[in-house]
Amino acid sequence: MTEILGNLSSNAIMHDFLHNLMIGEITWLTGIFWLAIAAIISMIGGAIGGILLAGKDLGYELAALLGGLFGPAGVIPVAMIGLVILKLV
Amino acid sequence: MLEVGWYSLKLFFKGKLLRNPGYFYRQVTFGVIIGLLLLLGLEKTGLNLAIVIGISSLLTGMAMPFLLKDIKMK
Repeated sequence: MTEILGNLSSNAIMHDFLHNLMIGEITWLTGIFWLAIAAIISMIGGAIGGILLAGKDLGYELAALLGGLFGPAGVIPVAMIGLVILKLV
Repeated sequence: MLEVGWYSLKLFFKGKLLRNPGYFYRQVTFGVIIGLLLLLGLEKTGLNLAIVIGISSLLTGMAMPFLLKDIKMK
């Protein structure tokens, strides 16, 4: 594992990417990475919210499914706008 | 799950999914404002970007079903 990571970080683009990730610098690559992370986490959050809201009425699976669809609808714009603001301000 | 998501996304962009689009856009805008305030506020506290993104997207994601609970679909 450490060997793979070592090889990865000897690649210049990968090295910059990991470095920027560590120090919290926002570039195109890390921005897209954070956007994907935010989308995945928001699906999980949406599923939790859906279960809390309607788990008893709709059944847990359907509630989680619908919540998982609603979550990213709100979070993807948040992540895009937020990252741009953090980058510029 | 991905199939359902993809199918509803296609219907949404054709304008055939929602019965009341104005309500949807208003509630999503509301959620986006909450999420942005959360994201920027957490960033101001000087936490690591990973933690900031994680907390704000988890909480905003949890809030969205509550905001969109009265949505009507066709």
